[in-house]
Amino acid sequence: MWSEHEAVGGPRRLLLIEDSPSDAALLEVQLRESILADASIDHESTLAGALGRLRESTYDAVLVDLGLPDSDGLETFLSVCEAATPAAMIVITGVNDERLAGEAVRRGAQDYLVKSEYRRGEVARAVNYAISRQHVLDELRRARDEQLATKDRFLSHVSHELRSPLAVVHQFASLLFDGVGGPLSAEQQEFLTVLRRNVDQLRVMINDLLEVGLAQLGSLTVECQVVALASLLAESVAAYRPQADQRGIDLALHAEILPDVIADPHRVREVLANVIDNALKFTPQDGRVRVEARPGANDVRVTVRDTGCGIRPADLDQIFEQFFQARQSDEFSRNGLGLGLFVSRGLVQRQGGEMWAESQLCHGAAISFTLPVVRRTLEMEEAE
Amino acid sequence: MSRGKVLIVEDDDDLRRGLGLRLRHLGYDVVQAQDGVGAVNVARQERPDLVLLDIGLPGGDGISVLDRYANLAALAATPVVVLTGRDPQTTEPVVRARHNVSAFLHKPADNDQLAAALAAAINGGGSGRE
Repeated sequence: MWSEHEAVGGPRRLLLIEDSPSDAALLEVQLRESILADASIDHESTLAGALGRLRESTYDAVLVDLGLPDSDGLETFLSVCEAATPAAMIVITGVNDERLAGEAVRRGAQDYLVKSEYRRGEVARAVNYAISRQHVLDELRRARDEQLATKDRFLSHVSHELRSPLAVVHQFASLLFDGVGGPLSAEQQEFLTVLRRNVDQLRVMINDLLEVGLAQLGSLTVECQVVALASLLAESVAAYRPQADQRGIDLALHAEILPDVIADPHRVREVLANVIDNALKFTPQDGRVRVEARPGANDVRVTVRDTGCGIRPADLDQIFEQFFQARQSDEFSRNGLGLGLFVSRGLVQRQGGEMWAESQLCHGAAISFTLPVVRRTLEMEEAE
Repeated sequence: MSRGKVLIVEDDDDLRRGLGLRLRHLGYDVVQAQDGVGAVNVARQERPDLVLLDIGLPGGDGISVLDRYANLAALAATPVVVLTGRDPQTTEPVVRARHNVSAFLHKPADNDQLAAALAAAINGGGSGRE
């Protein structure tokens, strides 16, 4: 517990915002006759004056009457609160305004005082406790931010450190596979295929891990430009055709004539890879995966449709959440980290689009996203 | 016939060896360096047609190697393909802001992607670096 006499860093600095001279004087007397006798107290009687003061100085606590000549009610509180951070806020309210005071407390005030009901020592105690509570809150907030930053740094560090050994495994496995180390039996070749597939899976996971860390740091770069979506789609589908053929899945692209879009080609490729990879993963042999693209008025909608096991209705909203893992049959039990769609949706949104899923259990799934077309952006620029 | 001489700059011994084998398999002659100082010295002696450069290196990172190349008349025009395990999202803009590298790949790079980047960089000649 904190003591009433606890003082961090010398005399308190208080700002009193009160338009009634007599109320202000009463409060000052209360404060002067208390343990806060040595506090420095500035006094303002308007919101404008208070905001000016808050631009120049910082305070341990701000006492604010919500009814000022140039501002009234919760507005007063919110304006002062924003400017006064991280000072502790104490609201001064009339006898009939306790509901308003309660609302202010809900929005971050540490306490409230009811005018003309001050008991001896109450004002000082309220101010002192408010400051202490504010300190504790700030400490907690700082600790939480630090933990989050540490977690992001950790993720980033780990995924970087994993890359070099993974690159070595990847390289030597493919050297063996390509016969650089000598001829292979059919069985050895098959074993190496399994090894390489799993190395690739690990690579995707590490990339996802790094991207989640970055996305949360807000430093994931998205650099939009005019992009010919049609060729990008063809490229992405072609890249997955060997994998589809190998699994006996019919992978095809159905695209109408498409306008150019405004997007980051690198990021669109990433999103497509993620969604197509997912679709292939959940589609059984002899199934189909269709990549469709349709131009709309303002955007192009890309849909990847599969004939796989579908998504449970309860999961439709969840699949874009971090670390989501679909409950699947044993055959497809390894689904990666559950970050692909989370990252993908973030990337689509950063490019001005939306991403969603539709499915009926046992009747396949469709994941769609939109990207804004060039025309719309130019019009918007003209309008601005 | 050789497709050209590539200098691999990589501090991880195993990866350097693996990349060396891969590039020889692709038909390149290979010379190697394991740190920033070696990257400059070997390049001056061997005059490679292309440098495959890691960014996180002991003894001066890949960016300072690029700085040195840019200041050496004999190397200023040599094309460079970056292969890094560092976060590409933050590293690539920093490198590209200072140097005109031919390609930027992340570890572990797909072999087809690596082969395509090397071929494009060598065929594109070394005209572009600033």
